[in-house]
Amino acid sequence: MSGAPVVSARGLVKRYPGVVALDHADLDLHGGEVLGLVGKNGAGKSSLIKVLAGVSSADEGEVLIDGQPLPAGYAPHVAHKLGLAFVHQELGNFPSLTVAENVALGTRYPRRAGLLIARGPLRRRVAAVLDELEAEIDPDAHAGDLSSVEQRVVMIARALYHDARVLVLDEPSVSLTVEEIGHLHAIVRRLRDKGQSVVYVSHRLGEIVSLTDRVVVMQDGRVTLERATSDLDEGALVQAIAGSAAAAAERRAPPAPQVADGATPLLRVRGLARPPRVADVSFDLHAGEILGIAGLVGSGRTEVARMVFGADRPSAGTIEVDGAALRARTPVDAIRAGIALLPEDRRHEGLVLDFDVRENVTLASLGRHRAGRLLPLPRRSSEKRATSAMIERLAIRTPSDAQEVRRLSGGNQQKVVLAKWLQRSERVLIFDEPAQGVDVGAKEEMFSLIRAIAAEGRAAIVISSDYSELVGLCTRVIALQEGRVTGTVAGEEITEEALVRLSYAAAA
Amino acid sequence: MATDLTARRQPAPDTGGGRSQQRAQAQQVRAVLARYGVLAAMVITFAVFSLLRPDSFFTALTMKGILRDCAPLLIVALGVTVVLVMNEYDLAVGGLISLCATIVVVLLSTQYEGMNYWVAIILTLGIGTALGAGQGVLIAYLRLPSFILTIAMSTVFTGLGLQLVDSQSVFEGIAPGYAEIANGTFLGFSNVVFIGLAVLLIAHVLLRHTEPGRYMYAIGGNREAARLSGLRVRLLLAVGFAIVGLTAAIAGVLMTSQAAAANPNTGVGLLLPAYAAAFLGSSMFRVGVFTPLGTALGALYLQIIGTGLTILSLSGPLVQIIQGGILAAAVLISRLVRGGSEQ
Repeated sequence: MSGAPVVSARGLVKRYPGVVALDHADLDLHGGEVLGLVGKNGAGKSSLIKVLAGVSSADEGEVLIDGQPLPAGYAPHVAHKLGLAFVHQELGNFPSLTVAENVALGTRYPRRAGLLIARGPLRRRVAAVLDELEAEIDPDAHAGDLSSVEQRVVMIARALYHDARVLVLDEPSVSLTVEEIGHLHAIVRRLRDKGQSVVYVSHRLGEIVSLTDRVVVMQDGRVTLERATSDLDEGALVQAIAGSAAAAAERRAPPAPQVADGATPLLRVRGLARPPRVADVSFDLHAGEILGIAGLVGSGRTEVARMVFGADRPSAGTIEVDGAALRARTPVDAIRAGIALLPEDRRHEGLVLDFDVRENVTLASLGRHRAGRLLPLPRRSSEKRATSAMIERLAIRTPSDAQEVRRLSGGNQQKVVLAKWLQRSERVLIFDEPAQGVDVGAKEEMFSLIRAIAAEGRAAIVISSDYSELVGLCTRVIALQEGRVTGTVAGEEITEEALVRLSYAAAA
Repeated sequence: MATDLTARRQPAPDTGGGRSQQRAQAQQVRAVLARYGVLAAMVITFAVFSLLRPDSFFTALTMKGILRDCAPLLIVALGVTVVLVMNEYDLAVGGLISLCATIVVVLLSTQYEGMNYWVAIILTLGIGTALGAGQGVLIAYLRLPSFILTIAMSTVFTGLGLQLVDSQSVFEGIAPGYAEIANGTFLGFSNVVFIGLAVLLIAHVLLRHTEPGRYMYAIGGNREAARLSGLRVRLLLAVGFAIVGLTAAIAGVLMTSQAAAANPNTGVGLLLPAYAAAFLGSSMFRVGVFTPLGTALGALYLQIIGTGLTILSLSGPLVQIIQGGILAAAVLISRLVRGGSEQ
């Protein structure tokens, strides 16, 4: 732990259009330590790792490796040569290659006659690395046949095979069982004892506290806390992650509607499941409510929304609308029952980009613009009237209703999706990240529209990674973690800190 | 004509303006080229043939012949347009035309079944539609990739047709009334011209003026967004393939009626021209958008070339080379133009 840091980042700044991903971030990594890196989604962890990996370059600041600045033309393969290895969350193995071929990929395979791969020597070398990790994996097995923990071990083995001194593990414990996580931790400790350095990114604060030597907390692109793990507990971490901004979030949520005991909720969800992301989710939604769903990316929140809307089929669970069971096999069924979804990825799931504003606005309600009663011939003048009304009501900034939506800004595109659903009188509107990629003004407009929808006696579900949005908007919030509801808060109890605590609740 | 296209693709000469101005100019050139390039090429081709053979090409008889001969191609191309609008492919259409041509003649020929020819026609249209719908169901509901499935089915359909008639042409026992359908005339034009126009009108109204048509374009534009807007995506896909089957059957009937004979290889030669017509059509008006009217102009263009080259006594292979070349050029143009307009 003494001596010059192996890796040292100084004052890194990385800007993306409209966002400062890194704002003078500093990080030191010493030999033989396990460094925990935590923070909310969008706090800058991934941006930092990308700069270290050479996937992107910083706009300002510098990275030193062994005290030397990065060479010109720093790129992933150079990082590799300098002994930095990155194990990303997605399994990066090639399923049709064997374990040995995967581990040695990117190096020169041992050859026979200068051309053919020498399988014997290759297998022996890889087996030696696997032995070091005490992993009982057959080097000749196909990577695709392994369990996810074994696949992760193969990726770690790959790093060791390449003589990596620094290993960056990005959420390695996701989707592993308790036992598998124990095994993974043992491997990490063994690497540390051999003098290697590990950066361990995780949202599970329990393992951060038990495994790491030092913790770095990031928030809004900055390092806000750096401390020896022994001086911390989970509570302190939660506070550091939620940050001081938590107090600033203003509550402008409408008052919770009066719900009589035993009243039938507008939407009742019980035991919804769809492996691997959603294990067991239940909640009620009453008319006039704005229900927030808090949770990290991957906690199952988007998947729950898609199931309620019939876009994906649950493996278990029931959905009731107004007390009547809804078997939403397709979105057609859910829409008929009065449910609408504004998807997270509006460009790919919400809009037909080649269509103009009018065609998008009327897409889900074209049958109302028929010239006669019977023939499905939409009347353009009727469509145009409905579209102008929407453009005015939602203040969509577009030169005309004949503008291709491709050319609109993100906020206005989002409003077009909303307009499409407001054309129908759906009673439950699900907003998945409604403010993503939307400027501040448009965001406020969108939120007032959501409040107006609730005020009309309809109900909204809002999913957001930015908890200050939920604090300012929702009458009630449920938190999801790993596909389960970890808690519900309502009214004044809705604070960013409470939501962070619930989303990071100690699991496993 | 190919040289004509390349000449037009040259960007405007640099007048020393700013970069953005240059880019705007290039955009404009592209936009003009996109809208009128293929139309201009069509007019020029027509003029060239007329000048080369004023006595045999530029005559009322030849003009009527062009309209008559392009009708089966037009009908099939319109069917293909419906699936192209949804961003799918039906490459079985050639094989299906052959199969339907064989079926209708086997049903009506006294050498085989000897049915009333109207009954035979209706049965054949039903069979064609059903086979198309069957493919559509496999593609839409079982998510088989349309590209490879329809190639496979094309072979199956062609083989079935050959099997039905022992790989022989059938020209005996065909009622004269049947041949009269395609060979008769009305107001001086062949009946098939009117049938082609009727199909064009129906396709135009369906795709451009009805709800299902709008939905089909939405599916082609963004299938997931269409599904999440509550459209019956799978049903519409299956219907689209059924429509291709129906148009293939109509073409098979018209071609056998015209020839008063069935050849089990009738349809194979229509596959490429049908796609060429649709893609040429998509290079007119709004680039990249398949429309029935565009497809009709594309089919007409291909027939002008075919007839013109025949009148110039140029050989069949040359017709193929030029038709294929034009298709490639049209695809290239629409790619270049679109490539410039997207960010």
